[in-house]
Amino acid sequence: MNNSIQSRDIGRLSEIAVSFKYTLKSYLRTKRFLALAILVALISIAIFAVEAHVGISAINAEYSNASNYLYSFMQNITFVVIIVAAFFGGNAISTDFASNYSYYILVQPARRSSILVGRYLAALLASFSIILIYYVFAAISSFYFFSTLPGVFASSVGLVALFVLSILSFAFFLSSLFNNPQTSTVAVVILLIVVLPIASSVLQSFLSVEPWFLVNYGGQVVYSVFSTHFVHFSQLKIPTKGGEFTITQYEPYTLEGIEIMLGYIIIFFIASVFMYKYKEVKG
Amino acid sequence: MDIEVKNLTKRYGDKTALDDISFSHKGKGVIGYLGPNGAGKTTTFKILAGLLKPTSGSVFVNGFDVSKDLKNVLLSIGAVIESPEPDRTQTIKEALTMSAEFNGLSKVDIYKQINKYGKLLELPPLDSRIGKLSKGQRQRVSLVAALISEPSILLLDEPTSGLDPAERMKFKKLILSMKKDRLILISSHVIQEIKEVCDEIIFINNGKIMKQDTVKNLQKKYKDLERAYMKIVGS
Repeated sequence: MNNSIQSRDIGRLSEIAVSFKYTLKSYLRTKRFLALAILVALISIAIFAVEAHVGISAINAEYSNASNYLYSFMQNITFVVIIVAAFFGGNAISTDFASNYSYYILVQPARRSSILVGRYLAALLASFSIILIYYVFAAISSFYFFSTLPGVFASSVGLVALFVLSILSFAFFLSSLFNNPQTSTVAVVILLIVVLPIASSVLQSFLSVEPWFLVNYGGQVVYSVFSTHFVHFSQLKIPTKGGEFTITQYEPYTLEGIEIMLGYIIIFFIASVFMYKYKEVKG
Repeated sequence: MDIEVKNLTKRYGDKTALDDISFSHKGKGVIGYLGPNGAGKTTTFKILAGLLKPTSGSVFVNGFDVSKDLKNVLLSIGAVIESPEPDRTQTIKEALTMSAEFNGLSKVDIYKQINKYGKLLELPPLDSRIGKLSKGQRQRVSLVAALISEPSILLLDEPTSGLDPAERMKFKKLILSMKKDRLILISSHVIQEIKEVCDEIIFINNGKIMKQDTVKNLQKKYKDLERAYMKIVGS
């Protein structure tokens, strides 16, 4: 035994830094990172190319200014965020328990909470760097068509970072409930792309309930900040044979959206840490 | 360097994997943890490394309670349990450096230790991806990761599984060279594999400790360890 070499506690911050560094390296090497980056770039280019070719007024007469245009352009971003974050967060915990990686990583002298925080930050950076591609094209489009970029654009970038964090927290938590990374990723995608939007629509349209507890609802502030005629509550009355049918629609206030996202970030991340810390490696 | 297991029980639902077992060892040497498949060997190792929580009882490693002070336990042990698999996207060097960084080694020491154990265990080129390695090569990478911080206690659960005969010979030599200043707990269900390296043997079967004694005493009493195994554990 070499007496000059001895393990020592490196402290929480260094543990997080080590976990972050190696997880990020791993993410950047995966095919899914490259595939998602290319996909988002292609979608952004396709939208820009079609609009530039046809002319934005031909697509939508309401595109009278950059804010209106970006309000519409950014409506796809919630979908992009969910897909990207689901791919980076959906297997964040389950992957350890599906493979023998847990026997390698969990016997290292690092707190499980630090390992998870490092992974969370790496997933944020990986996801956010892909989301930024979409924002870059949004900015280019805004300059190209209107020669300006609304001041709230920066607010939207900040809000989308919060939205990515909230989706990641939710995805991390869901991944802790499964022992198979594919199952957990699919569960995250189905829940966020299908179940929550349907629940949100049903609650609003048919029950007139504001879905203030759903993250996809809160995430709408990412594009609603561009709205020039913001309406929190609106109803559309459709005449029917027996009378009329009312469809209700809510749009979150910016502060309300931030609160919903912060709630998801805090609650689900704490729950993820708890699950990861106490999960046993049964194998 | 000491390990103390007190009245340890582990249940998975109705199944009892460990049934009120107790054993302890103080000081250097190699302890064989011997029993048939499903005896409870891996469960014991997992509890020692904090991968499983005991249903009842307590486990102390170097005086640290595994349930309360896992961080200090992990700082004093190196563990190879159930064929660990480093991140498949990493290179050997990255996997080992990550382990060394978690252990707080300096850059100079990391370089020295990777070279030392990389040569000793004849690792493939350090820039090879983990995902491209054979099971035996991955096992050796995990072993180097466990040794890199020179822990005083080594937990090796069936460490020769996946190794070819030549690798097993090298592994035996390595254990013999390390036993002088370490406590090594090594599990196996094949007595031939560990009898030449052990100083003491703990026999386990059906989640119960059947006997703990020195190799010398066992050989004196049963003439050879195979016979001891048959008498104590059964066929």
